[in-house]
Amino acid sequence: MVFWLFTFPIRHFKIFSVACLLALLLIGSAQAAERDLAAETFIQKVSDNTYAVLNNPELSLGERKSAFHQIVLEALDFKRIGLFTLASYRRRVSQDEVRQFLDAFDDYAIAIYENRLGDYGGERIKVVDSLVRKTSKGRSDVIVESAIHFQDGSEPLPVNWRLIEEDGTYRVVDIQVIGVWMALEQRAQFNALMSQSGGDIHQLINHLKGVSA
Amino acid sequence: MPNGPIQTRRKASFWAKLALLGVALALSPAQAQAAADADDANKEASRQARIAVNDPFENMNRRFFAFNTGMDHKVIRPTAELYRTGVPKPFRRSIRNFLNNFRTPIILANDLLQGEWKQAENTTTRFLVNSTVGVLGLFDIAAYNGYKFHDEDFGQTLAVWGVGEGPYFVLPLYGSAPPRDMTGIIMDRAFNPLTYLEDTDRTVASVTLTTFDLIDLRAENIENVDSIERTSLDYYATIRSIYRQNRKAEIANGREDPEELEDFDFDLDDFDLE
Repeated sequence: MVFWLFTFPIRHFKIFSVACLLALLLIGSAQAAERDLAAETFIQKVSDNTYAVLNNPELSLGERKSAFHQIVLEALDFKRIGLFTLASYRRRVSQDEVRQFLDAFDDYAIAIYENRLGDYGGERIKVVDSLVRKTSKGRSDVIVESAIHFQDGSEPLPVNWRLIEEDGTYRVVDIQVIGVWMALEQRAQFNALMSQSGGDIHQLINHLKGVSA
Repeated sequence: MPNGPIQTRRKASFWAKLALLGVALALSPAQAQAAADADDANKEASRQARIAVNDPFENMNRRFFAFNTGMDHKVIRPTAELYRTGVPKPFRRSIRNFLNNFRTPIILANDLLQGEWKQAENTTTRFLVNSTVGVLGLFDIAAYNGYKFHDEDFGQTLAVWGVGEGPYFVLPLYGSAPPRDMTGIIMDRAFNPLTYLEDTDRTVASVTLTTFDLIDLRAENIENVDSIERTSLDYYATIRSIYRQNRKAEIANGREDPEELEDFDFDLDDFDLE
């Protein structure tokens, strides 16, 4: 009996402390920034593919452009980005107008990327870290941190990628450079144009077509 | 005592359950919150879009902005181009280093006012090293040793203290300057050593430094600014958004809260896209 009086609380304490430790670990891992290695691999692969295409001396400028075009189309979720940039207007215009807008937006976005292609000077992107922001409705929302490394050895420039994963496929929805999220900036522009035209989406579509033409 | 071990196991399972319950309790508010967030996301996005613009003087701002853009095209950009072609990169880098070193009192004061002790230590070390070994700040020796440059201003300090940015504002020749940041610019003069020079010296020195600062900054960003301007549908709205987002990132000093980002998580199935 005496034996029990002493040992029971001790064993009991051990089990309790192990349980507490496990609980703490579980809470800790749930709260600490969670990484998504698959998302990191995805961004690294897209970056490496882009690097290979843009630095391939055997490709003509036209071939480079179309290969880059293909990578961008696969990596970015233009439908989601386009709908995001429309903000509250996406509920106020007809489905047909949304489709017309998204078509024009695809061409516009590609035109912008190609336009900036001329500034490319052999930079490389290296993935640094990632953070699972949220998981809901069977989708995860991940931010992948990376840095652009320049040829001339100047300070690497941080770039963040926002990804939505759906059915195991990752697509980029936003890119952040010097603190500026591109889709947010696009939305600010589109909203400004929409409010100037009294919510006429056709004017916005014409503006988009003007850039990609 | 045949009951002993069984009783122990029961007790153990009780504690394990209690611990698990603790975990469940700790997790469930967060999960419930996530679900509520997702539901409200769309409403919140449109509400924020309306509030975010916060530009009651837009007509006047756009006029000043057009004036500034004109000045940029006619004077600032051509000067920056001349400067970039005429002055070799090492010289330009030294001018930038000198200007950065000269800003030390302003940066240090604001590091301290924000309670950024590590940053304040970094700023002090940089100043001591670069002003001596770095020949009056011309060479950024400190950066090679891991003490990287960072900037602070009183506008950021006010933001850390909880002061909102206020409505968007554009000043002729200066550019974006909402009330909080405009106050910051004025307050920073108190920490600027030039403020305490004689009148004529002060004017000459401050005009020279400001000019170099502007031209060097513009020279470093000729292609970036060109490409933004070329691809913008509304250059004014673009710059307004870039200014605000960039400021927010500067204020957060790289510690932005990802939960503050807006959701992209709407259902594509809600739209008839095919």
